[in-house]
Amino acid sequence: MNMIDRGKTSALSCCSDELVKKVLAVADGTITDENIVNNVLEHIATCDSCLELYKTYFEVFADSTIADECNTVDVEINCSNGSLIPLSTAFVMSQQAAVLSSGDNSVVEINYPFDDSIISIKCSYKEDAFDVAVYSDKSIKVHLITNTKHEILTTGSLPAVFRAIGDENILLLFDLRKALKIRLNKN
Amino acid sequence: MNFCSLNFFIMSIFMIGSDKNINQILLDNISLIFKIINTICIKKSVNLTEDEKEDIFQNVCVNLLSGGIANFRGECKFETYLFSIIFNEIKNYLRKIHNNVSIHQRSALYDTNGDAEGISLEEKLSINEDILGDIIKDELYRDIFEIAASLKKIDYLIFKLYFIDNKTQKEVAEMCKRSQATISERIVYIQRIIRSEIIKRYGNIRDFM
Repeated sequence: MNMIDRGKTSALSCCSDELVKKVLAVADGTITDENIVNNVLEHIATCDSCLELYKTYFEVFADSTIADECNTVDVEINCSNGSLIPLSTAFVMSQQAAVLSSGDNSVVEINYPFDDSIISIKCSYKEDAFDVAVYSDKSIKVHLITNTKHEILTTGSLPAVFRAIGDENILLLFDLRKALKIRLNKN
Repeated sequence: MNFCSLNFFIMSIFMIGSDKNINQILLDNISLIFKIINTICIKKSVNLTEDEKEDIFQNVCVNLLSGGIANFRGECKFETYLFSIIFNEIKNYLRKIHNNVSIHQRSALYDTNGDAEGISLEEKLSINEDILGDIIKDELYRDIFEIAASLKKIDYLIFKLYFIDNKTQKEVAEMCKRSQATISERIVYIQRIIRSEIIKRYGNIRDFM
């Protein structure tokens, strides 16, 4: 990917970055100034690439039936007196992921399908914090994102273990291709 | 702290336009990324495999994590900004992987097919096809577009959205930031101008309406 393109909108069209930003801001109603709105509308009347961007915005956001299919799974885990209890949602109970609890309820294992294999995510609780270990027979770069930190570890012969996670939402990204959101609750 | 974490920390400090930090923004919007990818693919008839969609998802994540979120300045809604990054990624992907086919070209192809089954442009403009005689359709369309292009730009936009893209009057009104009544008036005006100009150019066409 070209670093120069990152965060810039001008690559969306042959027009200037400033103009494309105005097109987007008029589309979502951030800009309401009549003169600017009319200037933008007059521009898109004769600029095919900006018109395509503008139309696509409305097609994506004006439709309440926006595609629900996504590659993220949400799991919620409660910790009560040191025991972990998975609160499976209907989505989690689908074929995409199965949540299994170990005998003593201190570890919750999530089996998550990824790239023709299964990633095993084991959540445990000790010393007032959660640990999340990711096991895979493949080498996968795992990003852990919480409200306060972003760590990257790689699975391999050893699991990728993220330690000392608080009572919060965490996001696990596997090779930045699939995502698993886990809500860790401490009661 | 590794380089990535440091970079992330610095970006978090300079984050403008939002009370949330980069991590929270990504946590909140991760599902939306894939939904937008899917919706663009559906709306634009872009047939991508699940692997290809994951490639785009990956590119979007890399973009966001390496400066994309930090560059957001609040000039539009964040979801709009996210949409623009995803739209760009899909365009780039199609350009690189699918032999330079653009979203616009795919969309145009789709629209043409759609028109074939729907109401034709001539019908919409109340120009009866049966009485066009030897006029070649391409010629007629070229003339219609030429006349439409000579209208005020905002009317030309309404022409494109309503007559070419088959948007409803309500959709056109929303896109043109005008009332539906105004759009309805402009449509009648555009129809009248194009029709009378076509009749002028092709004298043998009788007015059936």
